[in-house]
Amino acid sequence: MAKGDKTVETADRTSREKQEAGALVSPPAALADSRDGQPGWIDPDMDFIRVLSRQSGDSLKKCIQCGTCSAICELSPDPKPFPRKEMAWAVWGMKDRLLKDPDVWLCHQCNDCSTRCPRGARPGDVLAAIRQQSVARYAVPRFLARWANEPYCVPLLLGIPIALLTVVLYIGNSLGVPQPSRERIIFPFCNKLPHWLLNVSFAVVGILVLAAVVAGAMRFWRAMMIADGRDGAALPAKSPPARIVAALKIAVPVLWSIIAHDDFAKCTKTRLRFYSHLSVLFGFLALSLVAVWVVTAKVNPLIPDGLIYPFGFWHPWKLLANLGGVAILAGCLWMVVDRVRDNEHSGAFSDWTLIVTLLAVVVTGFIAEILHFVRLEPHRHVAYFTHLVFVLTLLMYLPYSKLAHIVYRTTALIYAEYSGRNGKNTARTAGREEES
Amino acid sequence: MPENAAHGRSGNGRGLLVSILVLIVLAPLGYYVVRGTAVALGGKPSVEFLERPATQDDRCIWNMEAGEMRLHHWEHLARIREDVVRFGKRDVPGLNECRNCHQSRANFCDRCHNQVSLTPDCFGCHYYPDNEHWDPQRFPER
Amino acid sequence: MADKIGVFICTGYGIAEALDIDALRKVATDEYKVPFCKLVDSCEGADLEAIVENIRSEGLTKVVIAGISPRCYSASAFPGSVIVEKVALREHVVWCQPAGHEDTQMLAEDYLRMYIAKVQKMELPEPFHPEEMIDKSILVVGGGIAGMTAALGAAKAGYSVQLVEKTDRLGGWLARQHKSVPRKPPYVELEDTGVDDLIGQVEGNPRINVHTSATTSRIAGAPGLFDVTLESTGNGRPAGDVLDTFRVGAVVQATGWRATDPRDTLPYGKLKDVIRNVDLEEMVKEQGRITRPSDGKDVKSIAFIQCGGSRKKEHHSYCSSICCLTSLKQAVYLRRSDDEAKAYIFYEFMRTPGQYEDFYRSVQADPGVFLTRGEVTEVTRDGDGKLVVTARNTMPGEQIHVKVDLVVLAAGMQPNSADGEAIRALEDARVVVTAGESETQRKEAAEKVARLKRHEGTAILNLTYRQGPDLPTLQYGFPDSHFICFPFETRRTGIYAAGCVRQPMDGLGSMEDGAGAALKAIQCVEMISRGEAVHPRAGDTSYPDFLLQRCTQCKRCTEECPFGVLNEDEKGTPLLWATRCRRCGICLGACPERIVSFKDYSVSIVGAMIKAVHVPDEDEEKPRVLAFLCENDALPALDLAGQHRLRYNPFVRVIPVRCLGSVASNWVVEAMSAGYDGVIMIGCKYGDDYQCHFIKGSELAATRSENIGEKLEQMAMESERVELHQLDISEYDRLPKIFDDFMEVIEEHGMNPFKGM
Repeated sequence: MAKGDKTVETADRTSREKQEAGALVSPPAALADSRDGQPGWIDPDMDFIRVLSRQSGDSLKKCIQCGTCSAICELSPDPKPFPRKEMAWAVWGMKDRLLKDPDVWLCHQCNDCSTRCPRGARPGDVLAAIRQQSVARYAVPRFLARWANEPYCVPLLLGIPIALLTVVLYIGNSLGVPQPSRERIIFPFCNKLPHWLLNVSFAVVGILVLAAVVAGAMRFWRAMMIADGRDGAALPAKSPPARIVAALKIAVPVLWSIIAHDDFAKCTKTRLRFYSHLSVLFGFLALSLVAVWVVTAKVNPLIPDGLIYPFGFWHPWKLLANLGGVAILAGCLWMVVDRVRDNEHSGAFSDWTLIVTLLAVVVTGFIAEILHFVRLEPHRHVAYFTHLVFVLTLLMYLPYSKLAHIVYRTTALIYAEYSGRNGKNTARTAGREEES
Repeated sequence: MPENAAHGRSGNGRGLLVSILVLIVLAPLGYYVVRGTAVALGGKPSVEFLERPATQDDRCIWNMEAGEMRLHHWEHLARIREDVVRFGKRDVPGLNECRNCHQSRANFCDRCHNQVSLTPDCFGCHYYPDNEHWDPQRFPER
Repeated sequence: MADKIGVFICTGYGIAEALDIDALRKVATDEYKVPFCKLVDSCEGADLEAIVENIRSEGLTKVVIAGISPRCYSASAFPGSVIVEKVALREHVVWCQPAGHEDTQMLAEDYLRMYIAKVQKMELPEPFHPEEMIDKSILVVGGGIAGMTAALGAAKAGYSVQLVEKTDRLGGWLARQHKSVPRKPPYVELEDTGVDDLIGQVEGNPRINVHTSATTSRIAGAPGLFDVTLESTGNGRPAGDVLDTFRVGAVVQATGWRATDPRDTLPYGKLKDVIRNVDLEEMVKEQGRITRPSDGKDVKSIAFIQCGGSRKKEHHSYCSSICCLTSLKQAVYLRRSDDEAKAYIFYEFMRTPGQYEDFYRSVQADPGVFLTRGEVTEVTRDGDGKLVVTARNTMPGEQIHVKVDLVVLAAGMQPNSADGEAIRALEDARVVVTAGESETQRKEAAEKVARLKRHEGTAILNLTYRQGPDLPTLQYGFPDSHFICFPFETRRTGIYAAGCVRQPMDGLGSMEDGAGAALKAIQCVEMISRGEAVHPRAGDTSYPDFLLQRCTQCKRCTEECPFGVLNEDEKGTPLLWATRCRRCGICLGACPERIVSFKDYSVSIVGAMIKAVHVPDEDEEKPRVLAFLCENDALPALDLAGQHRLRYNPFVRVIPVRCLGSVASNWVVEAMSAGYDGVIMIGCKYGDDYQCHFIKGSELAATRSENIGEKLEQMAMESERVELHQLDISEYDRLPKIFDDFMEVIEEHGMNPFKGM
């Protein structure tokens, strides 16, 4: 940051000196070459503004840059606070600048700023739209991120996992798993569901997703480094183990703070947002863990005697999975209530798709479970298939949907910690302590 | 910061809540870690689900691997039932034949079924030697 | 007819409980031997009717009512043929002094004495009627939106109007606009200016006589009697030709504004593609599209630089009020021409008053309009011929550069006014340069000429007033007016400023202003036709009388009159144009020879009030302080102090005056010789943000009171015995402290040694 400040200072001094010399019109030769893309040279990207406006950023042009948002934001750091500068950049269509800005991800969209904006601009929602654009910029491959934001792509997006699962099952069934010839079951899977094949295909998708996620995060990290002029800089420690320790020293507290919802706890507008996100996150963690456990059971050294599947109702994993499902269901329902109650914040497309997908996953999961227990044939197979479709949807679009925030926000938070932008608003905290 | 404290989301309160949640999420894993470690150190697995056949004959009459049997036996039994009840075909060995080798229902069937919260209908009719509810008058052994 | 004085003493409002009414009555009947004195229960309703009935039946010609404040009576309560003076026993005695106290009784008795003495000297004013008939037609100078609205308004009200326009057609700035900013809900869509319709209405109105290509080369006379000469501007007929002469009763000056030329501080004029908002407007009006002056290509991006000539020390520090709107409007022109076009607006403060905020919001919502606060430091030409605008402290960055096709400076408004007083001062200085007595005098005059030279030839109205040919200005060249209380009033009676010459404003404001000024002009001609004063002493029929035999031609009155009422003959003798007069009495205060008097307000009337007070002997330890309070703010404040039951010193005797500027220094001297221990004068605030209803009155009084102090010292008395205070009507609570503090000063210096002499 210090370096950036110095640049600005120098620029200021230069212009002041010029003014003092009375040189209002300087020789054109100095500006002969185009400077587009250089710091300070602005050529607004109107398409970017239009894209943001189509998404949740429709209020962005209302900004008068008064700074109320930055002043009341609990997460905004002291030097160069957000979201005022982001709003200014958005108004001016400064796409490059915004997409390299970690601050966009420091925002947790509590919308404290949006409710207090005197002009009805909604910085929280505008930043959400910018984040979606950020995902679209860094995602691998990019077209999927573009699709993930277009309502008319929904059939296509759902069609892919359906087709994928159908193909997997078709292949699985034609590979010679015992075929009961006279059985009258409409769906030719589920009780002859080739679990191993399913596990393998989910694992493959998972690995691809992981690769996409890592690639996106690395692109993002590099962009932030370049924007900050830190390109090529590394952690001070030399030896690889020491570097890992140094990296962990930065990452672990950040991860804990994410898990502990430090930032959500600061939101003053809707206090229950903290609980809703907390419950969805832990539900998600629980279900992910269970899924990973099940999928990797064959190679898990902790289950030497093999996996007993399905789990019984009182099995620890089953209990955890049910708890997780309930947590996500409750959290998501609260999120829906929260969005419906807030008339202005109706939620962007990407926002709703994530909530709806999560709800679909847990609801179909519970339906499948219940139908399984009551042995309703063939309904339980339909439910289970649907459930698998939504799980796959959630998983395979993770790097492109709003769920990508898991990756990018974490990256940005780690970067903020790494670059010394730790999100502590000392002046404001001090002020509040004085008040109390 | 009394404002936050009032909502139990500051400092220790929140830390405790989150820690408990983390523990809950990791609890089953911990269970396996403890058990797995115990087994690795030479301890006996606490639950042995499948009873080995009393005859010491490794060959199952269905010619199936133990794992596959565990995952799919009910499908076979259901199919056999269909064949017997609807089509009168009795050429495939059924549950009665299982009993020839695996003699303890408690050890061979119920452990697993209890584990996965299943109460299959099989034993409403079929005799298993240690089935306490079995009534020899109503269901004479075949 | 012999005078018959009657006194009514009110016993209601707690007056009877606080005062010895019999003793008070004796003051009237025994001391002053008034032929009629009566006690009344109150001064309102049926009791007031009874008083009026008594006045009629007893044939009273002069009446004193000791009761409530004069401000509590309606103007029409008493017959016009009777002089009625009211003593505010309630507000100034009973409510602010302890009941039954000796000092309270003395105060009440003194007030009764003062007012009986006053009415004894007063005469009934006779309204002023000039020998010639008052003309009720109205001259409107300037054919812009304000002028046209004023002309139409006056014409619709039945007055004939002479409308003078310098250019060859009506419409002013409105006619030079392509479109108007939205003027009706929802304040989003640009509108047609509607100027042709307005011009059609004006030209089609039989009561309006339009003179285009004409200027007022001379306006002689006074309200009701203005003789106007029109001269050709050289369009059609040779310049200087007299086009017409006529008489009007009042004038509306709606001469509008001109755009500033920001040549000195911004690169305007150095780069071809840097133009002003007015130039852009003209371009769009003429050719319907925006092109670059340098190569004639269509413009795809514009940087608007706000306050290009406003709110800067180098130009004028006021806001021109419409430039922000104009830039927003012109940004819309650009955006309508091409969906990919970009309009940048750099402002310091975006000011879109009133409902125009909605227009601002609608333009702001356009993705192709980029607004930022910031300071443009440089505009340069890039290699490809485009302009690079560099700005600092902007929203998107500390220092930014944008490339544009065209830069538009939001040039501000300068009033098309002339500083009459400066023009007069220039003429005077010129005379001194040639005919000055000493070398230094001539040198000083030459410097003054150099300083004022820019005013040469700027005259617009060309009035034949001694104080200069145009309206006096206060700041930035806007004609002086009391902008809060009476915005249309200028310092020349019968001449009203309207529109942007008065204050920067938009078209709607100008229309409102034109209508307001027309109403003021109508009011003026009607009131002077009845011989009455206009605002602020509206309805006053008295006027100053100059006893010219004793005039020494000192010119103090002609110079100090804030309204230029007095012209001079060659010798310097004042020539009164009574219809210009506002009856403030500042001439009375100015005259060292005491030759100015009103029938109901003069040196001798106030002198009689001063002498009527019983000044106790030194050994009684009861000092007396005379207080001159301005009727406009200080006296109502004293009423308010009474209403709030504030206690103050009982030794103060208050005399209301028309303006502090009307206090004759002689009164102070008289008071000191009569044994008063001090004199306090309380008037309106003066200075740049003056509140004086007669502009300079209280300030003049302050200057004069210094001279009075010197006079006292010549009388071997301390100059501290005279004090002057400025008071706002809302500061009534300060009055007791002012009096008490002054009493301490008096105590310090001891009693007046002249007491009892």
